[in-house]
Amino acid sequence: MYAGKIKGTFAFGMNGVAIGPNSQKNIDALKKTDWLVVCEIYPDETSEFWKSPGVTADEMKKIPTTVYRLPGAGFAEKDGTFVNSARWLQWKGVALPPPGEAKLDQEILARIFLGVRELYRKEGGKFPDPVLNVTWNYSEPANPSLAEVAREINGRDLTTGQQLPGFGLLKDDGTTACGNWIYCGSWPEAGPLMQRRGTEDPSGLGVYPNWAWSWPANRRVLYNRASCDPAGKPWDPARAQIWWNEAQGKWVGNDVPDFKADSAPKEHMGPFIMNPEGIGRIFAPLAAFADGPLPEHYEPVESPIENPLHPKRSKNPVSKRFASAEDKFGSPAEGYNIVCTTFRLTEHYHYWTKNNPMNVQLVPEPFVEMPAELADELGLRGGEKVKVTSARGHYVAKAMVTRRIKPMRIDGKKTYQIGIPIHWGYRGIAEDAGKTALTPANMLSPAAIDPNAYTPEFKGFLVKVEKV
Amino acid sequence: MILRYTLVERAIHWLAALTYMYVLATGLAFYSPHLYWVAAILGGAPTSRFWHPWVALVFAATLAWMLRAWVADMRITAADHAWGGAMRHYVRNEDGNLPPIDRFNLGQKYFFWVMVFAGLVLVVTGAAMWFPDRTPRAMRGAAILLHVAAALVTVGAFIIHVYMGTAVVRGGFSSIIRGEVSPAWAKTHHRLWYHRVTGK
Amino acid sequence: MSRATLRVQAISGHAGSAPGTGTQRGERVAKLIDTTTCIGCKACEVACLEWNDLPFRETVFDNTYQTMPETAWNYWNLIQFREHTNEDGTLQWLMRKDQCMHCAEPGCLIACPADGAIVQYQNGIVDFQQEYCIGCQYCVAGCPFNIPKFNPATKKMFKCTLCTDRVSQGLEPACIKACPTGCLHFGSKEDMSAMAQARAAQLREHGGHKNAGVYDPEGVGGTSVIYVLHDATNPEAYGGLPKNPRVPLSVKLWKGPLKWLGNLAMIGGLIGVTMHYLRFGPKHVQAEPEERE
Repeated sequence: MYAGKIKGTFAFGMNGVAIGPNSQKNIDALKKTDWLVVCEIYPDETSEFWKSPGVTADEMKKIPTTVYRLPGAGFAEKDGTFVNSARWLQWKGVALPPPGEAKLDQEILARIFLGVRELYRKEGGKFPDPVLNVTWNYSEPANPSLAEVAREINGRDLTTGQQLPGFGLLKDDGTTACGNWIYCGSWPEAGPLMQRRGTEDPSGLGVYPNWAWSWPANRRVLYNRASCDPAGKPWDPARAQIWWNEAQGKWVGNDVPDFKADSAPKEHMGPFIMNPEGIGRIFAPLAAFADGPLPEHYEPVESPIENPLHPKRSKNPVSKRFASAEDKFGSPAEGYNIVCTTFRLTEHYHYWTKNNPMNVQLVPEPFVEMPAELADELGLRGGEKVKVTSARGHYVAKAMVTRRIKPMRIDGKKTYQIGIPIHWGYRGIAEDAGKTALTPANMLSPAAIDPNAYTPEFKGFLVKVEKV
Repeated sequence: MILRYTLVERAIHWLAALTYMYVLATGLAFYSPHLYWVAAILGGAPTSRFWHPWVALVFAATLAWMLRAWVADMRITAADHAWGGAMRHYVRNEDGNLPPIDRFNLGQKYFFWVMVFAGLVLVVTGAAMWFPDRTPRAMRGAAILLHVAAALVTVGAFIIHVYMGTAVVRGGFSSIIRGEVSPAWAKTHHRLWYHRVTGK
Repeated sequence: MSRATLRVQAISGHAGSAPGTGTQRGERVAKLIDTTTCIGCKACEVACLEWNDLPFRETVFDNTYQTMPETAWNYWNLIQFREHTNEDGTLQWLMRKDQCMHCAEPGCLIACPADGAIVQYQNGIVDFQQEYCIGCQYCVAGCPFNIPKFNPATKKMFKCTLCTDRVSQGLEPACIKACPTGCLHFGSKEDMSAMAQARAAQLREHGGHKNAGVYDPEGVGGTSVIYVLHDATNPEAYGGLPKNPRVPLSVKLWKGPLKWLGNLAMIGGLIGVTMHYLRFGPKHVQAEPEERE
């Protein structure tokens, strides 16, 4: 988008400007696009990027982006599944309908799709086939029920019309259809397994096999073959997740085996089934890791010190970094010698509770958590304003001076850390009342990404701090 | 007839009496559960609690006025000490055995000063009770204790004052209504004052 | 337990005894707050507001996570946050849920002059009945925990009710229901005391807190809200929890000896003047000859 190659974006319940990293670059990227469609429950930093702080009236007139703001439904107004980090799909019902003209996400997307399809039919266009020929057999095409969508994602046998019971039955000959193989089996012919609320745990191991449905195949613990010795007997008899049953000739137990069910132990199939050799790796073959083959230590992309292992190559040479003019990095030599991390509060959630009086009451204004010693050095008292600057932007808020953060000694150097909660931006109850400096925390953060898992390294970076 | 109390003095006195009786009644209601019904018949308990401090301020204002008006007359002199030494005769109505005194006798002067000082304590502690959030925590209980103690002192003084003025000293009550006393009354009770105002 | 709260034990400003006293034995309830497992999440603050229909309000940043400096007429429970440095130099971030302690000898009730404005139920809950409150704020003087708060608009006093409306229906108070760490417990005073003592022993023996103990102050006859503290020898570190709370001496003197003295003085005074009149009668003035016209 920043390079001008992406012409439009849908932002549905994702506040890309506030999330960052490098919020200013995200704002500047949006200024280059033709259109932005935001579906949200409150106006937010993304939907109002065109009046972010620092944009002059003249500049605003020159921004070509057409912004469509669609009132969406909140989480309590939608059914569907939440998938958690334990891999459970838990179905939830609707608590109350959306207010006013707000619509469910699927209705908004369906209506846009149907409109675009009509345009393709009338006017043609580049590569219309996937748009014109997509299967859209919902009972209400303009507002598909998520139950129908979930059934579709589970997959069915197109010859019989039956829901598929598992991904093992998926074929590559066009006779089966499935939205995502890991969810195959979540809604078989028997019904929506993710709606189950069975609280039984016969083994007492905390498996709860009938509570919702866990991907894939309702396996609760992955690689559970590794809980048994090479002979197929559990290492710990008190924690028998699965085991080899010789008489039945298959793996059985309190969980669904994450393994080829009839592969006998004497066949020596390895438990880590996603690796061809079936076992874990310390030495990773070439191409398995971008920065392999051995585990290494690199300093973060902005670090207060040089890498003690190899100072000439401190940072990861292949970490993904962008090379635009706005992707700047700072170093201690340039005066950025305080470590900053962004964090979350108990009392707020992401970027929407700044609109909720209850949360705003509990923590009303943005702040910077700062060690008492650093505050003393700067001549600062709690509640006084500070300006935090990184190579990318700045953030202004009141200081919370605390003894809970102590200075660190890293590689012999005294180093301070400050913490900034993420939850404020330039639109919210406190912001609209003129009580904040309107700077989102992620103005400060860098876009640096792990080269293997693409895990973001946005939370920790270097800054300078001064009294305002 | 001799003028003993001017119209203004009498008006202020009766304003003081009425306001005092109101704060006494409402105060007694807050003082004892057995007298709580008094607040109910004076317009309700919350109403009584609301008006008590305001009416008390009016009472305090009358005290301040009387202080300014009578401070000279209320100074305790050698004549008063002499009278005080013979006070048992006054109590026993053997007034012939008493030395002469001025406009007010020692008992009246004691009553005056007790009411002024107790009144001051009541106003200060009353302010602390009216605005407890502006009063240091440690002093809040002490304020109430002193307020009640000072109030009880004024009650005792009030009982004696009303008794003396209505039952004992004939002519005293009409003097604070009509303002005048007979020359005989003046000569008997306040000889030095009689001499001062008539020259006789 | 469900009808225990209807059994009144003491009534403020009331002539005579509370009706029904001693006719039934009620079970005393208690809320146990384990400060060692509180994470300061404020779910209890929000639960209290929502259950009691209290409004959310504007607050300001004050260099702390604490929502506001003290409880208010419409904010009945508050987590007190204190950064405390121990003698050995280590730092502890103490979090204490601050609300009415529901004392067995409630200073507020003893001080209150208004009949029925404060009621103590046999289960230990002390409840303000706003319809009888006259807004005199004597309860403020009586409370050693700085709890009763005045609503200047309605001139009534408010505080935590220990969710007497929920408890009387067999439910636990809203704060306890909302607490995610299980640091709040509710049950009979006996059970909660036993639980607290066991937890304090565990902290002493296994937690390295040699001064851990239970806060259930005798100076107010014990309370229906008790704490487990990491250091029971230093309750003041937990944001103003008084070490030895008592019904203030001034209140005890005023409601005790001074009341008796005053009654004696007033009645004595009335009897005195009556006796004086009977004995000595009024004074007479000899009328002058020239006046007899």
